[in-house]
Amino acid sequence: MGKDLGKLNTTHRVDRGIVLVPEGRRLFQTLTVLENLKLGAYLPKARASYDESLERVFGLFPVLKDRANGKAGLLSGGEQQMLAIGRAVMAHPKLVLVDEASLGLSPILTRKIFELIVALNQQGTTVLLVEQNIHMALKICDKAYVMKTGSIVLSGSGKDLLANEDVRKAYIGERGSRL
Amino acid sequence: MKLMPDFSNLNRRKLVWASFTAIAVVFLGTLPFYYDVHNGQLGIFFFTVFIYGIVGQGWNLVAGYTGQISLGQNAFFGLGAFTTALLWVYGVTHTGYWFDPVLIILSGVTPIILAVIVGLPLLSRLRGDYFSFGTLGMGMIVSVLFLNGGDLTGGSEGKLLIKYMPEGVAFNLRTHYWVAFLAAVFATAVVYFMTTSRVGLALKAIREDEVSAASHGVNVLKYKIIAFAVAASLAGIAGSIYTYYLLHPMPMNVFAQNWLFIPILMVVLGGTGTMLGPWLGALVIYAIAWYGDKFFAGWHPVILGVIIILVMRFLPSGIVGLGDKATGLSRRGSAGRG
Amino acid sequence: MVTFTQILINGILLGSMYGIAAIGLSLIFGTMRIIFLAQGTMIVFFAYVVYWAFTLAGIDPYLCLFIVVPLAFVVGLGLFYLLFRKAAALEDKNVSLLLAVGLMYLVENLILKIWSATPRGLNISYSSATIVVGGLRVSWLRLALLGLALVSALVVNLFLKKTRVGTAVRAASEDMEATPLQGINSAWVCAVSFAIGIGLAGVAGAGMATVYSFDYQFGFTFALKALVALALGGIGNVWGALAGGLILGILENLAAFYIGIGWIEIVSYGIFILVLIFLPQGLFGRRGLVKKV
Repeated sequence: MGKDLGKLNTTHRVDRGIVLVPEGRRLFQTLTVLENLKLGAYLPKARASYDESLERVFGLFPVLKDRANGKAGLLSGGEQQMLAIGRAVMAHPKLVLVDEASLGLSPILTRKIFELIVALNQQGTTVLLVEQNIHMALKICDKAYVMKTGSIVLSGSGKDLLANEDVRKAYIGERGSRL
Repeated sequence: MKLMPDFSNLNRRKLVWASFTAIAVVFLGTLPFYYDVHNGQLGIFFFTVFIYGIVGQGWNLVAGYTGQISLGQNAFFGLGAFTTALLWVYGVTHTGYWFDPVLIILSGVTPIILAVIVGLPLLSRLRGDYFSFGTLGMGMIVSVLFLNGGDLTGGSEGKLLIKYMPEGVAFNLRTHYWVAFLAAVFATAVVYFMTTSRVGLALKAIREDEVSAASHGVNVLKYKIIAFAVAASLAGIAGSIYTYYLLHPMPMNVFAQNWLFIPILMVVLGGTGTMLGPWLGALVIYAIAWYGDKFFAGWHPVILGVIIILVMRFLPSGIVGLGDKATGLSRRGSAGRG
Repeated sequence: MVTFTQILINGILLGSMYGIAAIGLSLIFGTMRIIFLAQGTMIVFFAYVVYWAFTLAGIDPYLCLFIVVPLAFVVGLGLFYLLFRKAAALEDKNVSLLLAVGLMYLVENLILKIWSATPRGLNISYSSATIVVGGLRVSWLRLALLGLALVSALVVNLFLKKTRVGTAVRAASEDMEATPLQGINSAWVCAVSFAIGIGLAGVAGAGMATVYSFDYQFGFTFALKALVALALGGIGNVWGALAGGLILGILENLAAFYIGIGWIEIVSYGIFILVLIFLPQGLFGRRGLVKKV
């Protein structure tokens, strides 16, 4: 890519293959699951690969296939998060930005969602995860960045950061952090 | 981008505004001493600006400071007008009637009663658009009630007050000018007091985040109703004073849409949620309408439509917003949390 | 009994006009969150266009639908991009409200200047044609109104349910801010809803021209009645809006007969306020759509 995205509006960014899974999911609750997925593949490029994408989403999240004609608002929290990610996948993205995927989910569901994010990543889609559940996030990620007041103060592989003393102190609850 | 606003700039602006206001008040307050307001055009011009501005100032209190968009101000205006007319015609209070303070005050009280009766169910259950809808419906109901009032309210003909003029009273616009001027100062003072006191703090908290305000112990319903009632009362007082000019209140003219939409236009143009905005807007809009009517006689409503569209299309954040843009200060988002 | 049925029928016919207008309002309100108070005035304007087409060029009002509705659609697109696009994106909804009011003043008074204040009505050759069913006399034209309303509701419903843009309109009605994240052009979604809303004003205008006599002042009250119908039926539901219109039409005709013509408005707006307070989701609306901000 290598292009400045700052000047592009959201529609163009989506068209370039960057999709956001927003915090709090922001599903269209009164629409059906399938309609939500259809809207995910709204732009012409994404629509061209609609069938393929839908198969991929249903492969990742079989539960969505079962509830395809149900209202999105009637799904459970975990299923809604799956739908939000699935909707992003429908756009045939190169990069998916996931904002606080674990928000409001139980630890078990969070683990499940993370497994699915890993599966998505292994299919060749880059995922940028912004996450407060740092322990789990560091475990699955290839590269991690710690930000403080708007700038990156620490970066490295997930495993490195997990072993980093400052990170442990700041986020996992040991005293005396410098971060 | 500056993180801290430039306070020296802000103070200078405030000083400019304050001196501007002082000059305007002195000018308007002394105008009748050296200018014939009865025969000269400035008299009726400023009288009308005062009336519209008072209604606007009330609406501003509700919309600009609590974020609730009332679409029923014409009902309160008309109610005030008819309170004056009916008390006068039926000789209820046995007072002087012609610019009778008792009548004007009572005309400010009846809208409060209506505002509380209507406000309790509307404000406790409806927010945002639904409150606007509800007040719109209320306005229609009140005007139809007066239209169907038969002999009591005079029906569609209203009441012709000229027949009831007390003896020895002359129709002199000087009186109208003074009373409207004082009411305008009063309205601004009331709104100023309400917005700078604890009440104002509560109102702003409600505008920003109702749930949060309630969780900090602000009685949301109480303050919303207070603001709504004060706005209603101001509209009623304006209606009462205007009745002394009109001398023939009919449902068609005192409940007219103009008394609803023009004040809103003036406030939005001047700057919602600001103290002087309504007056600035009233002055500008009425001046345009005044000259428009002069140069294109008979096209008055068409011109009004064009003005509204042009102003809202090109100046949506109002004149005050424009000034802020020029000095590089950002302004808090005004009303209308849809 | 025959009178009662006659009242019912008249109510349904008046109600179908309210219904068409309410569907338009619903689309505009749903996406742009504005009360488009000029809707009634636009209807009256298109009624005059149909009137002109009939009196000047002799075009049949129902044939004229094929001219007026596309025209109205284009007018809607134009109005949106010229006036409402920027305003719709603002948080301050007063701006859009006032724009609608300004448009209402302007169009209303242009009508007055062009066509004068005399109420107009069409005198069509077949306007007296009636069918008689069991002692009831119903004119074909009035029956056609109901048909017009049903077809409008059907078409709009199909558009919302079956097309891509329609689905986007429904999504935008629920969460406008989330639509760009899917690459949806939210301005275009608003434009389409607005244009369809004005297009429906064209339909209602043609219908009105055939049956009712109209003048320039008719618009504001008509827009408010459409709003009442919308509240009654429930926002965000095409069939609900139509049903709300029909119910309001019937209630108004009943009120006119049993209480008196002067009290129609009290009944309508009384119902309006009661519905808003006690049944904010309307008779057929879904609870989830009522946004308590």
